[in-house]
Amino acid sequence: MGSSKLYKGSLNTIILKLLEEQGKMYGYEITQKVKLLTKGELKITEGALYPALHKLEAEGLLDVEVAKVDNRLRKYYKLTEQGEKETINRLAELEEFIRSMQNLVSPNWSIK
Amino acid sequence: MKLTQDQVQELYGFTRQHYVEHYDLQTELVDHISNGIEEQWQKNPQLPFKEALNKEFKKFGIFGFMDVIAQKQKLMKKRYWKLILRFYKEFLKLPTLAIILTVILCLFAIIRSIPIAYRGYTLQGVLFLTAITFFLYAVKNKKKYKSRNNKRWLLEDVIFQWGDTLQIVLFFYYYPFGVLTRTANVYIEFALVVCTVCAAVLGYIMVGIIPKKAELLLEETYPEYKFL
Repeated sequence: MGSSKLYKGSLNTIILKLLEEQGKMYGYEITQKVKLLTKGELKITEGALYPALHKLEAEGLLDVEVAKVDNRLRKYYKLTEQGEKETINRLAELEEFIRSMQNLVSPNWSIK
Repeated sequence: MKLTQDQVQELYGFTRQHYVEHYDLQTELVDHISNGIEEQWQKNPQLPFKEALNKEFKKFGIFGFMDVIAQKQKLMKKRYWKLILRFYKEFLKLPTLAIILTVILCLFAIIRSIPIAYRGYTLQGVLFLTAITFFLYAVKNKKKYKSRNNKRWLLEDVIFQWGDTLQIVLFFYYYPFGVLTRTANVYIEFALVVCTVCAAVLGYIMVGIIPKKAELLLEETYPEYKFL
């Protein structure tokens, strides 16, 4: 199992990407989807998820909708227009990061 | 298997016991925990409710809900200051801008007509009376708010708690005025008069305007508010 420290810092990007693909999601659904997509490799802790969601909402990247489901109220998150643009930026940053890391750890890399 | 209404209410009580005092955050956590419990029941339908609940709560880590609460409070205070700025910008439009400018000019004229030795004290006196008035108003607002038995919303708490807190801060802000006005420099005196009036406008927005619009702001901030 990989180190969860490697995923630290990517949580916001993961959330934004999921919402871009799925439309609207609620907190529990996000944790389950990440677990499913990573085959259990990455488990988002509840203590990390909700602060991240609330911060993204406060930054204007997420909008909130509430619906009554099964005897209780459920809060759904979805991307705002600003959120959609920001998702593209952050994914581009992440891709650049992965490319840089690949260059660093590639077997062809050597000091001459 | 789904949670019953009583079990959902028990979860609200559980979150309250673990220091989540505000309905908005309670609701979100209740739904999350409920989903977790229902998933556990899919694998083990005989699992007692309390045991399932404890398993879900452990997933929040050793600090429980504290990180979630702390972040939410921090963000809500930021939101509150954005609201203040929004209302302040409204004030800087006609006709209120004309009124503010008139008050500034009148106060400046009064200060300039007073002997230099007393200008600082006069300005401090004006500020002191303004702050006391707003402080008492804020305390009255707070009493009225606390006497209601409604659900607590974090934004509402921030609105009614910050009203009087800032007036106390402004008391200390007024202190250097006495020293500064003894310079008899017309620009410094004008700047102090402008600061005084701006501080009074801020106080008025915090205790006079925003609390009156609390209901509207809650509807704007919380989509779940309409369900009550």
